Amino acid sequence: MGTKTENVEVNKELYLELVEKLSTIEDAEQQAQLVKEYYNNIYTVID
Amino acid sequence: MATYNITYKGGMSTLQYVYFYENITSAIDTSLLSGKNLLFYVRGRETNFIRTIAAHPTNSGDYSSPTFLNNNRYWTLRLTAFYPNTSNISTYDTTSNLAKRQGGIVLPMGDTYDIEVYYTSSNYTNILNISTATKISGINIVLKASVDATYDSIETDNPMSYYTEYTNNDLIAESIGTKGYSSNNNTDSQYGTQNWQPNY
Repeated sequence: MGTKTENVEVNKELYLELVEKLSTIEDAEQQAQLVKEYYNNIYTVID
Repeated sequence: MATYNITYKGGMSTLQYVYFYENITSAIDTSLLSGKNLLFYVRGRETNFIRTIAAHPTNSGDYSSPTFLNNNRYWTLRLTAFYPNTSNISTYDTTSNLAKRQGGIVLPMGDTYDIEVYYTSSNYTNILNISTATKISGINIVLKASVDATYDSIETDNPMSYYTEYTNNDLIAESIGTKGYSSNNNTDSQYGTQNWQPNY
C-alpha cells in the first residue's frame, strides 16, 4: 500500500507574520485561535 | 503499526502532507483522548535527529478543541514534511517552534524515523513539552524519508551519499521541553545526512 501524500504550498510571508504576532501574545487560548485562523491561508494543498 | 514512505522526486513541492492511518481505538480507551492534543515524538534511527511536533487536528483543525477524523478501524493523522533545503531549515526549524506546533517537521533525508504518539492536555503555548504528555503504547509509526536524484530542489551541498557510522550509539534520549527539540541531541551526528541545531 502506498503512502498518501499531498503537495502543499506555504505562504512564507503569512507564516512569518504569524510568528511575529504570536511573540506578542502570552495567552495560550488566543494563540491557538490565531493559529487556527491563519492555518488554511498559510498551507494550501495544490494537488 | 505501519510503515510509510516519502520520496521527494521530480517537481514535488518541498512541503508534503503525509497521512498516517493508525488503529488508535485498539491501543487505548479513546475516552482518555477527549479534548487532548496528540504529539508525534520523531526519532531518526541513524542520525539521532529528534523532534516533538503537535499533530494537526485532522477534523476540527483547532488545537483548542482538537478532534481527529476516525472510524472504528483507524484514526487519520497527518504530518507536514518540509524538505530540508536551506530556506526551510531556517524558517521552519531553527528560528521558531511554530511549524512544530502546527504539525510540521523539517526532515533530514535518507533516514528512517520511528514516530511515537503521545497525548497531552498542555495548553497551546507548552504543547510540545513531552514530559507532561502520555505515550499511547502500541502505536509505532515508521516513516522512511528519501530523495530521488530527479528531485528539482536538491541543493548541491547536501551530502546525500556520504555515510559514516559510529561504533557506539550516541543517541541521547531526553525529555523535550516546549521548544520541540533537545539541546543534547545532534551533538555527534555525522551520518551523512544533513543535520542542524535550532537556536531559539
